[in-house]
Amino acid sequence: MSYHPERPLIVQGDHSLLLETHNPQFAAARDAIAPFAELEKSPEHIHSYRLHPLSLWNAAAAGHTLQQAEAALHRFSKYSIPENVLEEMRRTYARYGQLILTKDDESTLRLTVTDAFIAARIAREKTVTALLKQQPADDVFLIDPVTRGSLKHALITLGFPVDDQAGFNDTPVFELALREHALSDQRPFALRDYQQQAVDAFVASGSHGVVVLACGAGKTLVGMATMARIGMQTLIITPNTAAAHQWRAELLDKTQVDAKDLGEYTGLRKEIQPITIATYQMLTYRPEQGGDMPHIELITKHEWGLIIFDEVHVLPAPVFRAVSEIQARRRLGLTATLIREDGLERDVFSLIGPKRFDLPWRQLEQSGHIAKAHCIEIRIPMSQHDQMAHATADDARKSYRIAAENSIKDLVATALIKKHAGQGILVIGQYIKQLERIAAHLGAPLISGRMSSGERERLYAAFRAGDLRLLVVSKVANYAIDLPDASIAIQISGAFGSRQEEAQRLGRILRPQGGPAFFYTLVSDHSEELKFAVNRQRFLAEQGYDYLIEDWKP
Amino acid sequence: MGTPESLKPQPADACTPGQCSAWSMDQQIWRLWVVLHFLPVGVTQQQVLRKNEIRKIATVLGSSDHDMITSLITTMQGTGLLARHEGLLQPACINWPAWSKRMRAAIYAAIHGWERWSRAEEHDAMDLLADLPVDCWLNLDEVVEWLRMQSHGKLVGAHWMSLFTDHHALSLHHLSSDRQCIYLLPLWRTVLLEQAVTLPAPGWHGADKDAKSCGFISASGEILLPPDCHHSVLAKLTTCCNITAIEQMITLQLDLKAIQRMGADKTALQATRALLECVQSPLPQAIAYLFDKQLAQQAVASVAATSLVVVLNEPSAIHHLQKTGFPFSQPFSDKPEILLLDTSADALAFIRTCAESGIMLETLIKPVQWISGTASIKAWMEMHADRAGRWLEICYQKARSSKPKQLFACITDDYYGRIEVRPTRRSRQGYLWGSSIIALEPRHLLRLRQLEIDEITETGLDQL
Repeated sequence: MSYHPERPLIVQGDHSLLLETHNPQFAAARDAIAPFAELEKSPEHIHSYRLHPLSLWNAAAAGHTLQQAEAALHRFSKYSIPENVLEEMRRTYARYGQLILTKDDESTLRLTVTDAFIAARIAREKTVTALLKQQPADDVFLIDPVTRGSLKHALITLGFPVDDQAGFNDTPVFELALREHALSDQRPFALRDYQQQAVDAFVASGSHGVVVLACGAGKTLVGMATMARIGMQTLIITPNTAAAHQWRAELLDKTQVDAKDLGEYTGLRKEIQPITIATYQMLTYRPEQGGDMPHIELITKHEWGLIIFDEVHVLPAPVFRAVSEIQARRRLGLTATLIREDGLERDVFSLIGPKRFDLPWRQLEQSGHIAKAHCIEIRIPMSQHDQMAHATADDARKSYRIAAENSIKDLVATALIKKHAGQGILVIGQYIKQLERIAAHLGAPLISGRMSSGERERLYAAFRAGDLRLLVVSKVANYAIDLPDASIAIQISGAFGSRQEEAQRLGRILRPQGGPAFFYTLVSDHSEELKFAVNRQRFLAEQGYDYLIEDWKP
Repeated sequence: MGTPESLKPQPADACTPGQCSAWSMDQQIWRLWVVLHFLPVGVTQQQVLRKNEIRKIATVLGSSDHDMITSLITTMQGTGLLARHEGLLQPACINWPAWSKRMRAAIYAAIHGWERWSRAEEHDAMDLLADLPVDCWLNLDEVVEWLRMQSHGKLVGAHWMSLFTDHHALSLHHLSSDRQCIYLLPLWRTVLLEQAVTLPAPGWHGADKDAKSCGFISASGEILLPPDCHHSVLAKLTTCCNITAIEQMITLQLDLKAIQRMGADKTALQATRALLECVQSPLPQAIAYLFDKQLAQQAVASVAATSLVVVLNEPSAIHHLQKTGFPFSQPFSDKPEILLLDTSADALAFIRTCAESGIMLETLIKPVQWISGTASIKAWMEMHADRAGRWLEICYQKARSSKPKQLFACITDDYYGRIEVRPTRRSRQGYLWGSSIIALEPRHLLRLRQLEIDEITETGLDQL
């Protein structure tokens, strides 16, 4: 019945850990629990972690022992640790290492099960037996390498983690070195501490997994440094062509790669080179509705030493399936927001790999690596006509849209643009008609999916060069677009309650500029939009961003 | 087996997977005690606890064992941790000496045989039990055997085993998951020897008068309270929060609707805000904004709390509206088309229902700090009330060509549809009376609001 009010950690019966950030022992406790607990939220006062089986198995795989984990909890816990939590930790840890996957020969993998009861259970489980080739003994199963990912996924779903010792395929070596000075401005550059830690954590834990870093914190650089460390042919998959071109530009600027070794596999070109950059859209393209996806083989057939999944949170389902077949390749997922409204984060963990590195956004802000951001929600009245239409709409979706397209937002956006004149400003929205209206009202160019990628890139380039200070953009600019000069974002509408979109839009203005960034969200007061705004802001609120709420006063 | 030392300590209980609980008995009682603040349980005429309410409590506790909850509630009532108030069992303030006394009485009751013991025999029983080693695991059979061996007289017939196995809600001991071992809390001896007590779970520390009230409030209104927070905060928070979880920390959710229902009740709003600020200060801006907005709001026409003022296009539609079940009032008998929708009603749903039923609404006015808009000002003007002596802030325009003026004024005469006010003007020394009386009708007023007493004091208007 211990009680130590001075300590910072609260271990709860539901396996969550609450860590008081203002406690003098906060940093020590955070470092002690980080190897085996998953960070869930990091708001201002209390950070939440969770003891998830995956996080415990990852710790076990990385050599972090149960005794170390228990000792960390006992050392920092304010109250008695619930006995069920300790017991569950012991059971979970004990499961790791009971199923070992090794290579038998080039065409067969061997799954050895040390616990006879687990072996018997597996042999009866239909989801698993469908993936097995043969069972030469009670505790040994032979499998086809193609089903390696699916089998691991099926077993982990049953609660049996596989210690995958089958290794990776031998693939063509491709040496890549980071430059000491960026080519563009000749300024010296080196990896920041946390970027180095992310690369180390990824490589040390078996070269498959996900690195989570805030927008603007240099995920591309982490990817490039990983490529340099692995030294093998690499496929980089990005969400769109503009992002693919950004990768190419960054690789040429910060590594010594020769342009002829960089291939582009997009709608524009189909080149395969030692380093190839593709898009998810191209890989999942079907010439006929319901037909095959001819380009998906780029992932499965070519012997890549490393595949980088940029913005891994948008990984489409067909790519998920393809990834399950390439477990013999090193896989790096990069994202700022590993949240999906469809709840498929867990599939990302099991197929790409577990989260290897994560840093709270606010921590990066404090260290000056991303811009200090102020989030401001401005509540705007609707005209009497809109108010009545909103109230009498047939359903909530229509009400939402009426509120989202509130015409008074045009005036508010204009006033904000005037207030921040001279700074790089993005007006971001969901509905094309609304965006066209506001772009015409502001006299600014509109970038949407209807615009050719060449024209889009020309406008982005003009914005980066400072020739353009104001852009109106649709959801095409939600992620993977690097606009270092943007420091003001005005969000006039969004996709309902998407936390992902909210965070990614804030991410457009987090590249450090020297001054603070301002993220304005315009919301119609007393409307359906207001209800969704609460959910949209949840991820950022959990990252410690406080929204300042203001009423619009003309 | 002569002395208590002959009872050998056993290894700590290795909880069987799937069976062990996160909670010791006194923690479980504390959790239940906290939950009952927010979900008091009703008792039927047959003196049975209401099942639906027990189910809700079980959900918050994350337990499916309704019998255990019922049994704990009964024990808690018996030991004074709960009190019955208007048919509901609610947590009582903790009085440890009284609790200890009741606990001892419960132990007596549990071990009484079929006839009453004498006082001396009761003392003997208590002494025997107090001799048992505490704070270590013991073999239950050996404990019972030892007690039986030491008993004499009527004590021989005591139900020692059932004391430990059937009265687990006494919260002074734990049984191992296989029920072969027993662990007596140090409190066991404290209670039996009538020493000063407090239960050991951190939550019970909140009964100390020096306990803190602090916690954490997020922008979305989630409140996390540490278990050792001052218990008085719990009772106060029931007016504006719902409980969502109770693990080691207590998780509450601020009920935004409850705050909205406070309408323009400034006292209640200020008290609620002060209460939340004693949990965390400053409040997250989103919560402070909510209070600021609410405090700035005034009841339209000073009638009951209102969420919407509605003017019906066709007064006869009132009959249809009465069937919809929305709570509203008609404050003016000669103006039946003016409705005040109660704050408890969903204004959007009301408007939607009206549209679907073909009821035309002429004007919708949200209550704000300022009463503005012709219908609302008319409604205010046409109230049957004598407001002479009240202070207003008004913005008026006597003629279309004149410039609107905003000032503080005191009502000198209040008529139906017209007021006369004495204006003030501001000088370096403060506010001074203006020179003339102004007669105002609704058409002259752009907006008005009534001043609160503290505003009148702060501005010094009460000194005029």
